[in-house]
Amino acid sequence: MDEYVKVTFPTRRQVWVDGKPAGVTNKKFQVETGNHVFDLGPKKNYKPEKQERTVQGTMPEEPMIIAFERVDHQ
Amino acid sequence: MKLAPGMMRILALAFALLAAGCASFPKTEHLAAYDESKGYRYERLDKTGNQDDLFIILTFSGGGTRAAALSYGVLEALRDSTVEIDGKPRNLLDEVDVISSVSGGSFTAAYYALHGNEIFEEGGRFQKDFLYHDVEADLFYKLLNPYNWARLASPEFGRIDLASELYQELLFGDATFHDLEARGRKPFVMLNATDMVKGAQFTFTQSQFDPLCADLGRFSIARAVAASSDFPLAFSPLAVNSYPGTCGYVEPGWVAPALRDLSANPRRYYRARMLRTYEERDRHFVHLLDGGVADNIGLRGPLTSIRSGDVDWSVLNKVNNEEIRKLVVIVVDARNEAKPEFDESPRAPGTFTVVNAIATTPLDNYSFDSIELLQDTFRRRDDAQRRQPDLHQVQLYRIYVGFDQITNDAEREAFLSIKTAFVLPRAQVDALRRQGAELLLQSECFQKLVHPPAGDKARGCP
Repeated sequence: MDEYVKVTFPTRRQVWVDGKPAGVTNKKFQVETGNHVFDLGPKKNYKPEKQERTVQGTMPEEPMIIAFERVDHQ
Repeated sequence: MKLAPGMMRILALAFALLAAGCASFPKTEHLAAYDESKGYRYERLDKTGNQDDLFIILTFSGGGTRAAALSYGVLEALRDSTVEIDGKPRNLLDEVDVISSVSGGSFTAAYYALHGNEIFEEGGRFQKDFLYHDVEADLFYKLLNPYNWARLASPEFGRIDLASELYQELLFGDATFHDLEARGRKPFVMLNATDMVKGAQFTFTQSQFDPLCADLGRFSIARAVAASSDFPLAFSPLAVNSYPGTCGYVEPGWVAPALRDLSANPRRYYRARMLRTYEERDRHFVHLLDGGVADNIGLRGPLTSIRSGDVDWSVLNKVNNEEIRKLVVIVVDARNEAKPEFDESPRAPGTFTVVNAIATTPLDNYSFDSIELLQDTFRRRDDAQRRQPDLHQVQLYRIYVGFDQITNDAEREAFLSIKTAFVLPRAQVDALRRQGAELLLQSECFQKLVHPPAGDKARGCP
């Protein structure tokens, strides 16, 4: 089945799902039902480092929200 | 001691037969080091002149020469069609991104991927040596050759290996997947066979060969086409060598999470399980049958790519990344409906008829399910886009070319009754070519693609 997620971050950037570029931040996109690992790619200025979620039972109007925060390295 | 000339000849013949008796199928080459930036993969093909914004997938079904000719007619119609994108005309055939094929359709797909527009040369190699040629007679003559009897006596050399040699001589020469890589341009061709383990689809791409630690680049195109058209019982299964665990293979990131999806998404879970079977250290060979056993219209691979991010050429990821604006899927289905004679008699059908029914009837049902799944997938996406404008808006075009769509009853019956064989009368091949082109051009959805109605910017025909 189709599922919908929205990955939030202060700026627009690439979202990686299961190790591949698969969407952009702050915009809904579709994923396949099941377990997925989300991260924001190799530039590690965010936390958590990755999030594994079971994406199931979502709707286009009610996507799963996955939030990442910016980390400013000193 | 001097041997008589007659004795010398007998000894030479005996030696030749003995050597032939040790015949073996061509060994699949080992892949020394896994490297996902090398090999025959969609992402490695040059996108100059064929970008992903208009993404066209063709699927060619099985059905011997009937399927090859029908898909050939569709290619001819695409060659003669243009579509306007951003005010510029673009040739539709040049825009084809992927061809996924099975059995008879794989001959057309592989030859086009290898030789491009050369395939259309009137009286050229494809027409002369395959489409209008009696391939079955050539196969039969090969079987009559005593030298081949000795080779076929070897447990490591089967009828499919003989067929593969014939396709090499007739059509593909020594071409390998390295030649497709070197050509470097789309379409990306997916020649589909069936892995005898679990009846899963096996596609001749490097990502399929990676867990086997096998080098697709040095694999013969003729042999891949033979595997794709390896009709059970008529031919022996085709073997591919496997060297799991010897090339530093790293499994894709989706596999570990998918192995926890038994309850949430069993289809994905079993896909991951199937991939893992290729990593089993004691699996030294993969035995393949006709691609039609797993999916007789070649649509399952593209469907997975449209619905899932797990495939290395995932269409879903391209949509999410806003790379695709129009997605077109053209299914070319040469399904026939040969009228059975056994219902005219009280006698029980013979073993071959029963086996043939077991082998083909479920495939047609499964093909119907695949087409419905594509329709369902497109309609749900289209519905979601209309309800949620902040989803990337992609226009979806679903086009089906099959004999059921012929409106004239007699004509439809005539096409549906064309047998599955690797030889057909010239007039029938001509008619199939014409029909493939006409059915495509008559499709409302195709017309909507080439002549988009005013104001209809967002929808296509899902």
